[in-house]
Amino acid sequence: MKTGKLLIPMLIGLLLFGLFNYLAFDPIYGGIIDAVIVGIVIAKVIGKNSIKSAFFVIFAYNTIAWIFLFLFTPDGNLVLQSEGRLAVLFYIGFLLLTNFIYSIIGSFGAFVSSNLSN
Amino acid sequence: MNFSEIWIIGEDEALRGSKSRHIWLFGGILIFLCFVALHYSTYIYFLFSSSPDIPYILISYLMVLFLGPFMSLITSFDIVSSETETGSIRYIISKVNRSSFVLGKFLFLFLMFTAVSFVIALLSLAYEYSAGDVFQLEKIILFWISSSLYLGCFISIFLFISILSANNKISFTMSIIFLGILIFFLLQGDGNSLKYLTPYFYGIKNIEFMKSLSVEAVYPKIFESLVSMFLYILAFLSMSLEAIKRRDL
Repeated sequence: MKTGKLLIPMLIGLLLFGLFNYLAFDPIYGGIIDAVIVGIVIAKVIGKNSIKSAFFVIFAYNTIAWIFLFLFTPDGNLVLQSEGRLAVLFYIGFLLLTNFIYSIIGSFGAFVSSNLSN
Repeated sequence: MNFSEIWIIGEDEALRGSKSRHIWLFGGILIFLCFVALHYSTYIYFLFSSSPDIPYILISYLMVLFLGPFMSLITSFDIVSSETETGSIRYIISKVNRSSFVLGKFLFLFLMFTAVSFVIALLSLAYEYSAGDVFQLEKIILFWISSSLYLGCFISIFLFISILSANNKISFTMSIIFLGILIFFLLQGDGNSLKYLTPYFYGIKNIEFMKSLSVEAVYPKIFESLVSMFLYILAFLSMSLEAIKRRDL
């Protein structure tokens, strides 16, 4: 039941990610705003103990979105087909680290929102 | 909100609360570390080679800038959450207003850290005097006010998190996480507007004023920086007051 409830915030996250990407918004601002909005939505949907769920959902939608970007965009294909394997690995590691930070920011948003909505 | 209630809560924390000993201990540790840095400043003088004399006030300020957030975290993360955890908050808020309770707690912590900054300012002054440097009262006052406000920003942040937390464990974890988020925001660089969300930015901005030889020349900028920190405290205190009103205790 809880997993089903998390589907809507994840879709909202993916939609916002796509929108910010389409509008060529600064990825740092976009990522943070997206994570905070999704964190607040998750806190509204689940209520208490939404911190872990927010963390996993934000990490999941960011990872899914980046996989889509790598597979279905010309820029992503260019990165994957490049010769410098080490540079690509470094880039993917950096993206995962950024996703981790956005997840932390989003889960903090969920923590504040869930405790304020009592 | 009642001023006598705020004062009673603050006084109770300072005189009878078990927390006050804990806070004095960490305040004392901060003073001691500043003293050690000042005492052995000749070994780190190469870091400030542009300055003709050893900049004692700047050294103290840097110590407060880097260690202050952690000291304020250790002392203020459980200021409200410990009362929520034990349930004693219900007895207190049945007698005093919730806003007075929060403001009293803030007042206590803020005054404690203002006293700590004052002692550090006196130490720096004593070292400057013994080294035969020019007596710079403006810089000492600037150091005292900006250190107090800088630490006040962190106290208001951790107070807000403490109000939202059900127990000390959550409060501590969330405080550490928020400190990490602030550092991440600061590391985004000078061109990014996220830096304005961190007290570090306002604290670091004041380093320039501590370095400058004449403080009078940069009074408007100093005023702007101090007002920014004051507004930062007000913003977090307002959020804390809103949070305690909405919390189901």
